Formats: sequence, C-alpha cells, structure tokens
Amino acid sequence: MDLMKSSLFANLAGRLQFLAARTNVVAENIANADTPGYVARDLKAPDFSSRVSAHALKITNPRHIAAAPGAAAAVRPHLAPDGEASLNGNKVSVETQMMKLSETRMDYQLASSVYRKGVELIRLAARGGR
Amino acid sequence: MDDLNTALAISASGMKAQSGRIRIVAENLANANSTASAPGLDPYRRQVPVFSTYLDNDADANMVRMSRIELDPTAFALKFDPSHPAANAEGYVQLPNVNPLIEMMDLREAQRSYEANLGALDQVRSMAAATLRILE
Repeated sequence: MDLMKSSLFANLAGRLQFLAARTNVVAENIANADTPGYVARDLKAPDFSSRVSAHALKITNPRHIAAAPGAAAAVRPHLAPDGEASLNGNKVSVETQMMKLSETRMDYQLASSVYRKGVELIRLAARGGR
Repeated sequence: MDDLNTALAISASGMKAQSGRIRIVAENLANANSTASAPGLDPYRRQVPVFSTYLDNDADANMVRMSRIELDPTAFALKFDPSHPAANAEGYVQLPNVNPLIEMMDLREAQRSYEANLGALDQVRSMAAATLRILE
C-alpha cells in the first residue's frame, strides 16, 4: 500500500500546498501595502469537490499511464483590489489582508490536523490496535 | 514548506522597507531646524521615500523595497531674524520644509505597516509549526 498515493493524503497535501501558496500571495500584499499603484492579488481555491467525486482517471488497461494524484494545476494569482484606491493608486487594505491571512492559517491548521489524525490511524493499525 | 519560507522572506522585505522609511522620518525630524550656514545657501530639504515592487527571481515573489529617496519640492518658510548668519539682505532666514506633525503621522503609519508585516510573519510561523507537528 502506497500511503502517499492514497486519496486522503494526496488531497490533504494538495490543500496544504494551495494554502501555503495563498499565504505567500497575502504576505506579498501586506508587504506592498504602501507601494504606489500596487493592486492586491488573491488565489482562487481549486475545485476540491470535483476531485473527491471523480478522483482520478480510471486505468482500464495496464499500459495506461496513471495521472499523478494531487498534482494540483498551478493556480496563478488574480487581481483582487480591496475597495477604492488610495491617493497613490494603492489598492490594498491591510485589515482585509490580515483577515484573509488568519482565515488561511485556520484552514491550514485544520488540514494539517486531519493529516496528523490520518497518520495516527495508520500507527494504530501498525500497532495492531494496541 | 517552500512557500512558507518565501512568505517569511516577503514579510522581511516589507519590514526592511518600513524601517528604512522610519529612518528617513528620523532624519527629517532631526534636521527640522537645520538652516543654512551662509546667505544664499538652501536649508535642509525634506526627504520622501518611494517604495516599489520588484520581482525576486530566486523566490519568484513580489518583494518590496525603497527604490529611491526624493526631495520634497515644497517652498521653504521664511523667518525674520536679521542676526542669523544665513539671513538675506532683507533679514529673512529660510527654514527647512519639514513639518513635524506630518513626520509624526508618517512615522505612525510606517509603524502600523511594520506591525502588519510582523503579524503576517507570526501567522506563517505558526503554520510552519503546525506542519512540523505532523511528525510528532
């Protein structure tokens, strides 16, 4: 059994990767909160529900190449201005960004806790329930 | 973890830019009374930091830096003081175009932005700690 290829761990790893990338974008926004003309950016979450239902391409022939699970398509940040621009054309509201950051952090902690629980389950199984 | 390390570097660049701005404000405040030493010379002229975004190729992220320091073109105020060494023929001395009130506001704003970057750094740190707890 390849644990890292199981859907639980692959999906959680993809989720953690996305949240880390979003943190990166929000940190850029906060660092550039006083840069003239800078417009805030954000990352859109990939559709995780479709990955749960139609998880991977079915392999009906041994010569098919397996699609790598958890290979999240590289998401590019898009412009997400916070309200009106200030006098120097900057469109970043530090308050909104801090809110997004703590939201991302909570999601990250949730996903990593679930990951830990998964690891604990495997440990329990390896110990034979003891 | 790589993204998180990049986020730490971005916050650090923001803090560096803001502390550079605080340094400029301190220079302006320190020189708020620096008049010229002789007539015909200009007194201290207020400095204004300009921030700009740049793409850091190593980290592939939009960092911030203080790209240049401009001089404030506002006119100097005049004070009647014939005994001053820099007084002109009419007895007026040019004063620096530094307004301490504006400088204090700028200082406060830089301090808030610095704290915002510090807060971001703290959040990223706790996320990295959550990842490391998976190993426990």
